[in-house]
Amino acid sequence: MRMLNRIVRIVALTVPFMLAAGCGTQPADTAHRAAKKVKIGFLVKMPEEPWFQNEWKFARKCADKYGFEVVTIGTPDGGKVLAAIDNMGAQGAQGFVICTPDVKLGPAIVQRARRNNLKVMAVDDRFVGSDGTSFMTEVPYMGISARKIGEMVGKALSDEMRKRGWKAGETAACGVTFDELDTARQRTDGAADVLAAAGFPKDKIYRVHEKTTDVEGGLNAANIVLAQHPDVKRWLVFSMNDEGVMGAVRALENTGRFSAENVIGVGIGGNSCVVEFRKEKPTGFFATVLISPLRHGFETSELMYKWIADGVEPPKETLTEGILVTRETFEKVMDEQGLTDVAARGKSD
Amino acid sequence: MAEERVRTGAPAFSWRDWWDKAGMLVVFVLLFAGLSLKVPNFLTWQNMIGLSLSVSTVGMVACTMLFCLASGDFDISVESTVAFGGVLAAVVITSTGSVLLGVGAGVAAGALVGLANGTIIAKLGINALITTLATMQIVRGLCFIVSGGSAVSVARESFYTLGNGTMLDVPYPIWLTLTSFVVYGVILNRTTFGRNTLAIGGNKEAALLAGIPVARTKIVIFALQGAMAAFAGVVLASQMTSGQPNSSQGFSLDVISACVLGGVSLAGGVGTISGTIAGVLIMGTVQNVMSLQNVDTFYQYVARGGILLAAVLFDQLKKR
Repeated sequence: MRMLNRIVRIVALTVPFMLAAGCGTQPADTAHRAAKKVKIGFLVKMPEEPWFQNEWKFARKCADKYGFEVVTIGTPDGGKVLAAIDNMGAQGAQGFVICTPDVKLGPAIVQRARRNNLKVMAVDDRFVGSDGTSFMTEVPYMGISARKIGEMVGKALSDEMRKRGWKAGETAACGVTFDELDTARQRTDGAADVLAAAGFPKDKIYRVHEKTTDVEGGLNAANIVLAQHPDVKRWLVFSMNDEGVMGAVRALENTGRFSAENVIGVGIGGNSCVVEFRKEKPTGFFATVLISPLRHGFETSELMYKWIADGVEPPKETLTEGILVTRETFEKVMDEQGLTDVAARGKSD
Repeated sequence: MAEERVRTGAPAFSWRDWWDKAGMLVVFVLLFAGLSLKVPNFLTWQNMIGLSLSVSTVGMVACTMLFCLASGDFDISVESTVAFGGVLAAVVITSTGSVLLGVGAGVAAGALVGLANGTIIAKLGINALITTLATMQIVRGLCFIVSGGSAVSVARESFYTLGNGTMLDVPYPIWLTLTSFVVYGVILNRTTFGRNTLAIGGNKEAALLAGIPVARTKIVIFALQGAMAAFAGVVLASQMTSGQPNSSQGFSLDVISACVLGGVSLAGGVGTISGTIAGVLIMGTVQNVMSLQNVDTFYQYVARGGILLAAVLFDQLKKR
């Protein structure tokens, strides 16, 4: 009786493990077919961020169109990236697209991919070689034309400032930066340079580093600048994405002294900020440079698919453009760009 | 609950003892067998290697975490020490050109961190959770300071061998983990040090009265743990060909979960190397299969926590 008890307990403990582990989408008998089918991985560094969720969404759309399987994996650090690459090799994938959690993992990623017979393409953040500075130009890459887009932000800020008739004396600019990532540094440098060239005093452009590139990171960073410069009456805000600007705008609002009248924030992205544009009253978040998760998610998957299925190698470098949109124009423009469902977020009907 | 005893003078076979020693391993074997049949691509050489590699870092540190938990303590600073070992090694190798010096520096630094932990906990009597929470922050900060704020690439190819070289087609990190299991298993079962560890965790006062050098044992445990974590970090950095200051966040809980799943009691005094191995392998296998089956990332978090909870609850029920 006791022995039976023990056996029952062992089996009872094993079952939940198997259920948790075994539940999924693939039944065992498709194993043979799965090996022949095209399978492409899509790895992103911050799976909880809207930009990457949208990239995944468009990758799945591409998979539906061409009939391949896309494996979406969140890889927030180096160890997880390597484990994910091994895992894709084990499940018979032929290639993957990755936004790496750190660009210096480039050589390790390429090496591990080669070991598993997987093709690699980088998206958003470009791989850096083992010398720590030069790009790995042999790996196909799609990213935004960071410098140009940063310059668009700077221009939008100075144009709006002029339109509102703000004087340089009472205005300061807060740049939330993340310089260790090259594409981020180019954006904020571009914005700052254009502002300065338009006549904005250089010593009033305050740059602050954020620890993480999400809203919380932007908020904490902006709080530092606000504490250092409490008598500034009007703020321009820029960052390397929407979240940095949104965080800073939140920080400004929390002081009770700032709102849409005395804050002009221009972000980069066009995904997360839809929520800002849908708010009843306008906030300090004035505009954003829309970039396309459709191209970064759909097109990269498509290029990888054509590489695997037809042997056509993707171009080594594809730079995507941005479009400036505001509260008034975003819906129409996003519709034209095929981003209607992204624009529909937060819509209350 | 009294065991049935056969009155012949020889000790009866006790199912409870058997379960304590090998129970979790049996669960693992059954799980493994079941998954091999049900999940495509699971039972392949390539996947087995991938699975083993993915648990190698946790496996190495779980060996010393076993001692730490068994002696009644806690250590959540290991995740920072893993990152620090890798970062320091990368920095030293890049500046001196010597791989040996880099690896040595990383491991030595980890041992120092462990020494600090052990001394504060054992000599000053500060609670282990608080102490290691503090050192976790301090060491993480040191990671960023030493690396200059971002990852440090290592160009020296001889460094890559540690993490990427193979023997008999099996990568070195796996061999290192297996060796750790054997070595620490021997230490736990065959040495006075191992017996003392369990005694201290079982009843610290009784251990003191029995003449066991409690403070010294604890300091040694933490120092070993620091060195082991740093070494695992160096091996990881070799696989990533760079020292990453923000790597392994949340790693400490992964290691503790694996140990607890393997039957190591959080209260101390109970723990086996076979249980720890089983815990590490079960966690790794479940993770591996969830990835093979493309279970949504967020559901994976829920599943991992759920398994740990189930194991702990089951362990509690067994004790009644």
